[in-house]
Amino acid sequence: MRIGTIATLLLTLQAAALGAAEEPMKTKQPYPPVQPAKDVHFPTFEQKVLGNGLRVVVIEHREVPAVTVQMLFRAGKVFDPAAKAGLAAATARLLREGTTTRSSQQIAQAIDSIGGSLDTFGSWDSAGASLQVTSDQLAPGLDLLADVLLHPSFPAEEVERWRRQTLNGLQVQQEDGGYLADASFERAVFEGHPYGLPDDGTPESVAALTRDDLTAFHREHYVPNQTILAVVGDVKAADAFARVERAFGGWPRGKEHEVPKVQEARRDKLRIVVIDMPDAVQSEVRMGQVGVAFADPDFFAAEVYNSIVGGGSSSRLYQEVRTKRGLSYGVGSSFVKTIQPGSFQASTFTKTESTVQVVEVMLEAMRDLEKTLVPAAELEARKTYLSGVFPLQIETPEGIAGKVVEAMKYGLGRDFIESHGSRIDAVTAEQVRSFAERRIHPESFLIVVVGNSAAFLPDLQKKLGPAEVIPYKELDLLRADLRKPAKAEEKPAG
Amino acid sequence: MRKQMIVWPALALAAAVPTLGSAAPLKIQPPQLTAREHELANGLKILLNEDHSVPVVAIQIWYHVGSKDERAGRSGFAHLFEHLMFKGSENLASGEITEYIQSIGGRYNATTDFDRTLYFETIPSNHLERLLWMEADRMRALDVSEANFRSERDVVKEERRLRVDNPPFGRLFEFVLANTFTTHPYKILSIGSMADLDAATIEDVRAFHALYYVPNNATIVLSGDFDPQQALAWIEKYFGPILKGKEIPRNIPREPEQTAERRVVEYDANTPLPVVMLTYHVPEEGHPDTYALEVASRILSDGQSSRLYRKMVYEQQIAIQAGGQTLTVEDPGVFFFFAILQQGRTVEEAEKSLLEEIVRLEQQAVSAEELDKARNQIIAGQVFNRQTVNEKASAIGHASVILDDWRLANQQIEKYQKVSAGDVQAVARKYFRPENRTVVHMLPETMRPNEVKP
Repeated sequence: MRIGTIATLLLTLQAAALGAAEEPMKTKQPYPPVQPAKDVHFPTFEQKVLGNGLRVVVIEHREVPAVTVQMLFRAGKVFDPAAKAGLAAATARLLREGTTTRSSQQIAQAIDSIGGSLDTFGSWDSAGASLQVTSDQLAPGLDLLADVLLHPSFPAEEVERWRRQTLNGLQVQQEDGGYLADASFERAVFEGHPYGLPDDGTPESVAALTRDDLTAFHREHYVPNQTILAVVGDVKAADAFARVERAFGGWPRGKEHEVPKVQEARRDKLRIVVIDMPDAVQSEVRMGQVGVAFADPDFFAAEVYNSIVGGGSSSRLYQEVRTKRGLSYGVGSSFVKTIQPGSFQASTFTKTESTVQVVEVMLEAMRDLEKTLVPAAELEARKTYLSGVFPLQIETPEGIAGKVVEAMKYGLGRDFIESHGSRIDAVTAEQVRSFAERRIHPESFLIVVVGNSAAFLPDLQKKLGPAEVIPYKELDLLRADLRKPAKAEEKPAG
Repeated sequence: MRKQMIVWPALALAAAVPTLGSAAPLKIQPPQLTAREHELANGLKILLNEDHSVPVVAIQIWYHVGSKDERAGRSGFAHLFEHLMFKGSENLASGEITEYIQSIGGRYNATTDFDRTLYFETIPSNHLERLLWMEADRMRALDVSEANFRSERDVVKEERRLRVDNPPFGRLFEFVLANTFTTHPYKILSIGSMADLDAATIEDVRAFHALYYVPNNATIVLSGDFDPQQALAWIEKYFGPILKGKEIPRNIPREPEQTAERRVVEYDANTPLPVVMLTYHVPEEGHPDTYALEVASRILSDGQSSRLYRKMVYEQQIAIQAGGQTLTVEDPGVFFFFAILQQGRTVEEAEKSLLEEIVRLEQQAVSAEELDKARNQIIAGQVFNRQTVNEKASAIGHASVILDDWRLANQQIEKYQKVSAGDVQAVARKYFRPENRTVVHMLPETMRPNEVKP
């Protein structure tokens, strides 16, 4: 678990956006000309499936003497039992804390001494591993990677060390309004589904995890027939395939696991949850609903919709919240796209005094998109951003590997990667409006606000409706109702 | 022209599984960066790095002004001004430049620190001329209105709340700097204080602009897919007419030598776990001793096999995070040792543990293995951190603006490689002395003595 320590000295700016989107930009001098655009192609790559079902792709990329290896396993938090939330993340994290032939410190020494990095982490559907080494160190790097993935030993001492560190980290996170807003939103929007579980668990679930849980999770979910491996960098393809086969070819197949379905229950009104942190000087705001799956036919309309609503400094939310009203330093929206439908969320933070105002402004901005067509100039600008940013995303081996692995996760290939731009370009204003009307429902959003509720609750309830209020120390992120169970003599919660 | 790269086929190495942990030197070197250097009559410096691997260009405009140039009572100016640079100029409406960049699929940002302010974008290369014209427009004829000023000031105050006033440990760094520096402007964060931000006037901001945002205080760096002759011609055309400014004032008060240890204890509501921080004054970037200090930093805290991680986080479990690293700045800076404590551990034992490591550095030479590992980490790091055109431009720009010579972007790696165990021991003895340090204990508010608990 990462915790920011020394505050960053570099203040980066998300600059202001244009004013009214409907008016064409007026300039006094005409723009100088633009040269003809150049073609961009995704680098060539070769794919193989090993005998044990491992899908391998190799891309030669010779700009620097470095190699990235990225792996994806069907081993994410979606497979956590609720009482053991954090299991997937813990399993991923503990892989590198000991194998049958190496101790935690030996693994650290091995990767540090070659100046490389080896990271293992959990996510929603998947867990991942990422190795970065200079090109002369591919052999020792791969050997180490295979060892931690295939032969982890989960030493009891390391499990306890992990537990203590995680509990400390959770203690910090539980004081962080931004974290609480994200985690509460996720838990509540997915109701009972494990996509909503907190990634690292809670103090209760972390205390309950056992070494047997970890070894069982690894055995069940780290299987080659549901794993993707990409090698990108200064390699020769034939050599790289041979090395991967040597390192991973003996890994036995296992059972395949499907991601449980997300049930989408529709409400007819807002659900507002206020998490009270009396010392906060800023409120964190999250609003949204269940969104789209990666394979959804509306995928491209959703991307364009998101770019218009909250995808950067030219978006509706940014203009309304930051540019016009100066209410926040950061505001945006996103779809989490996963195997089952993920979430759609708009988020911001603002000083306590402007909490209610910012919620109203954001809801209004999103309602507008159901009713009115996006003007042509704005639509074009958003679409060319989404398609035009492609060369920037493939400057590095990490960027290339990320695109390939993501496509392969959903059973897609080079075609999908290369046609992405033209399929974005094909989205029309009417498709965006129709998507907003059919799929996004601001009138029944979940809204989560974390902050000093005494300062804004009456006004919030007057303008938007009844809110559930939970003191932040009584938050229970394992439960869909977010509240620690009531004691017997008190009224039941919810 | 594409760089010629020496490719070391992996098969050239031994076929058997190599012994790990021995820290043999890496067999690669970081690629050398190339740049052509020019200067216009108005003092604008130009650095051009060609790279045709992807049809993109990074454009960076560096202004050699940062928060250390701010006068007392006007902290936060350099950063506030950075925000205002996006609010319109003679031929550009407010936000137009960033709207344009995004509409063509580019990315942009800007950043202010103690020493410089930097505006950068990566764009598809066929739009280079337009972006140069836009950058010249806002360098030449920025329009700063009262309304924009007030609105951006509000945004900056939200940024301060986000980074400093609201989050866990948000105030730590500000507090430590305020106690480490008595005189030099490094004692204040570049975000500035709320009071100073509130007191700022539009006239103050315009004066700051007139003084520092002039071509003789600026450097353009281009990295990527462009023709250098063509690019130079465009830069001359659009930036050439901008008038040279006055000579840039550099009257920055020096920090007097610290002659006795300082100790401070602070209680803070946003500190969930105790933190111990020790700061030592060290030289500015580029000074010969800084290379050995960086090697020391890697040995102390780069990776889970590093000394502080292994001892304090892994073995003794005093800390959830611990490290030792430099604040690398243009004027003499600081080296930090820090530890964020685990629940139930004390600041006294954390401080004692950190001091033991400092004494160890002073009294025993570091091992050859640790030295080799640090060297490999530095070399590999430079390979990984200079892949995108924007990263390459940053390396070249930083060396030029802060160190006065872009070639140091290539030459520094050799200086790191030459650091010996004796050098590391020497800098530890020279700088990690009690009289040169400030010790800060920052504790949760709930641990304040005589707290009446409900």
